[in-house]
Amino acid sequence: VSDAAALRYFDGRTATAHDATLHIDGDVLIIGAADGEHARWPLRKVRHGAPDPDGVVALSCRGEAGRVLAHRRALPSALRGRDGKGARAVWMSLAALTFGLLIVCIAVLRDPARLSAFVPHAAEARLGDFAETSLTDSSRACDGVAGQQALERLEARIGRAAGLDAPVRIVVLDKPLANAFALPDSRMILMRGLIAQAGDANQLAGVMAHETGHIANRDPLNGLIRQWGIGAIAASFGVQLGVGDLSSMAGRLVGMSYTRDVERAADAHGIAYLRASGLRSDGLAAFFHSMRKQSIDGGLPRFLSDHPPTPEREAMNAGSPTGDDAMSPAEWRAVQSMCGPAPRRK
Amino acid sequence: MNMQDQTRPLLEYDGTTGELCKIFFTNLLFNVLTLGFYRFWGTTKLRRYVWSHMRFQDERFEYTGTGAELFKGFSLACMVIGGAWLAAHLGQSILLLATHSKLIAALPAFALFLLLAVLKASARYGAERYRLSRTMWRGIRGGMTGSAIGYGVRATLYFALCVVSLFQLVPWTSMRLAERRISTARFGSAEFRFEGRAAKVYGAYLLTALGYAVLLGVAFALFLKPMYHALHDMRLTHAKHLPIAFWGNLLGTYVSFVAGAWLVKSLYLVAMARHIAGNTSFGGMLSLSSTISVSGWIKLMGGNFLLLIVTLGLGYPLALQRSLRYLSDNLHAQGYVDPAALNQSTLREPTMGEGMLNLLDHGGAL
Repeated sequence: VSDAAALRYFDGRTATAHDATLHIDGDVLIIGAADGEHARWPLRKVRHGAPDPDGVVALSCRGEAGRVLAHRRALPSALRGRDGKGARAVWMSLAALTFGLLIVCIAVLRDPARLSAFVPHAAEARLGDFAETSLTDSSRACDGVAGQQALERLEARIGRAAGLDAPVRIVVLDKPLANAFALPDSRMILMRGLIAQAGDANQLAGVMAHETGHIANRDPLNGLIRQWGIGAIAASFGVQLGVGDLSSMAGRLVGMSYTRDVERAADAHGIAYLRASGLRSDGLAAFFHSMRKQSIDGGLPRFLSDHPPTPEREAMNAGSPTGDDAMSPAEWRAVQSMCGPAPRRK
Repeated sequence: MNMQDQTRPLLEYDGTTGELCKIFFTNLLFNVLTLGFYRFWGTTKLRRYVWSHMRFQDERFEYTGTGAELFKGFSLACMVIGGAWLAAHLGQSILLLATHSKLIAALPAFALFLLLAVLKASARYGAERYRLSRTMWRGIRGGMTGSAIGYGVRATLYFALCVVSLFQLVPWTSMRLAERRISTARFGSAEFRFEGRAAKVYGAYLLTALGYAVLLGVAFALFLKPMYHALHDMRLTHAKHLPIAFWGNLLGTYVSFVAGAWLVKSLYLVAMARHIAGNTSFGGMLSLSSTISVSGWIKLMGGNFLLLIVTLGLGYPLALQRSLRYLSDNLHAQGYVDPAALNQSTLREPTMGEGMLNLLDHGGAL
């Protein structure tokens, strides 16, 4: 670039280039012409672009159409170095902030209990209520009074041993799946299929103690937080998982899979609660055994498939046959007929 | 001046892959660290680089857009589309309650779909307007007249016409849309002009249709027939699993269709590009032409595609560099723009960036 081209003024009306000079008078930039002045720009309104490949910088002034193209070296020293280093600092700190948030998110994902400790009880209660309502909206809750009372008596014993400070609310759904799960706010859902699958009340007690283990550890809430955390991170990368959608929360809880460690802990705690409450604790293993025999034809039921391998769990949680039976025969019959007359079984 | 009658490159590009890489990877880093929020500013940075490395008549362009404008445009687009989506959902519920007719209740969803189609087409127009208005050359900026929504409505109607005519009107509608985009573009006081003749590219278009038919026949003989036999055998033998070869054939069908259709289509696309460039002029001072060829185009686009696939997108700067070089090597001009005769644009500048395009399309990075 020749020296002549080093400083040119375009008036913004035509594309013709005009020779120009630059000098600063107080807080005004004067763009001089051979015969006077092209323009006067207040310095605080002067904008300064980054140099182009030839080292030429464009100067402009807010509210003015004109433009000065000048080589970086031809600029008055007061105008040099105004090329947006501040913006970079802003971006750096924003990046550091989001990076910090990401670290927090990862910490929460690794151990959601860290965050769920801050969730107020009222919020958890509303979550639980919402989840339960959407479940009972889509399928009937069984209302056999005697059976419900038997379940609550049993759960009261287990819950006391678990050190729960509020009674667990139990809902039996009229669904054929052999499934049971815990909801936030000390709620437990049992499905008719599970009661039909359990060989006796002790097996059912084993499953209930396992779910009580989840409740005592606030696993449903932790699980939701973990999924929301994954959803939030995914959303920030532009992937929409639909996790923020409250209406699908119930479905999420039904299909919620905990990590293996969480399941192992719930197994172990369940056995411990049964022992501490003076009940037989070999029901869970017996239940696993019967599930396993069934799974020879037709795969594992949904709620077992995410868990550690059934034989391993059966072996690890043998429990003890000493202790009270979970229910009297009459109570067990009442539970079995909660959803209407018990279906005939072979 | 002998510049007047000589054919020379319209735009001279002197950027380098290395510098593009530097910008791309810094942008990538900032995008990751800010969870994607930085991309508007990153795009602006990349554009500034590319614009300043493009010269017309030995004078560099300057990109004067800002990241904040792009961000504003994007936010507005989010609000418009989010609002429309919400309104459609509400409308659906209200209509269902009021009329108990599922057919009537589906109307808002249909309207939303139509609206999105119109918006998508107008987004392209709006994006071109924004970029032109932020392009500065010797203190003069570009612009576009006409309405983006009008363009979107027209593009949507044309698409319907194409469907009705069994796609025989595709060349005609493409020409009309290109005319609208080009003939409304201005740089300063001078206008771009383009008048297309669909008949000139219709032959190439028919040829591609023929190509598709051949492709279908070949795919049938090579892949679909064995697949049919495999399914048939499976029924006879009560086998539980399909043979591996079946999946190989399925993949073969897919790849041959995607790649084949693209190769066949290149013929028409190149004919179209040459026709458009060859019939475009600027302000009565400059006429354009193009030396784009089918083989060059396939090499460029196929190479870029493979490059992006193999590098999982990290090869983007290289692909961009290849495209810009190709553009600069194959778009030519004859004539001379006299700076004294080029006055400033009187068109109002858009205040926001091309948000809609960013949202509805990936919009490209440039």
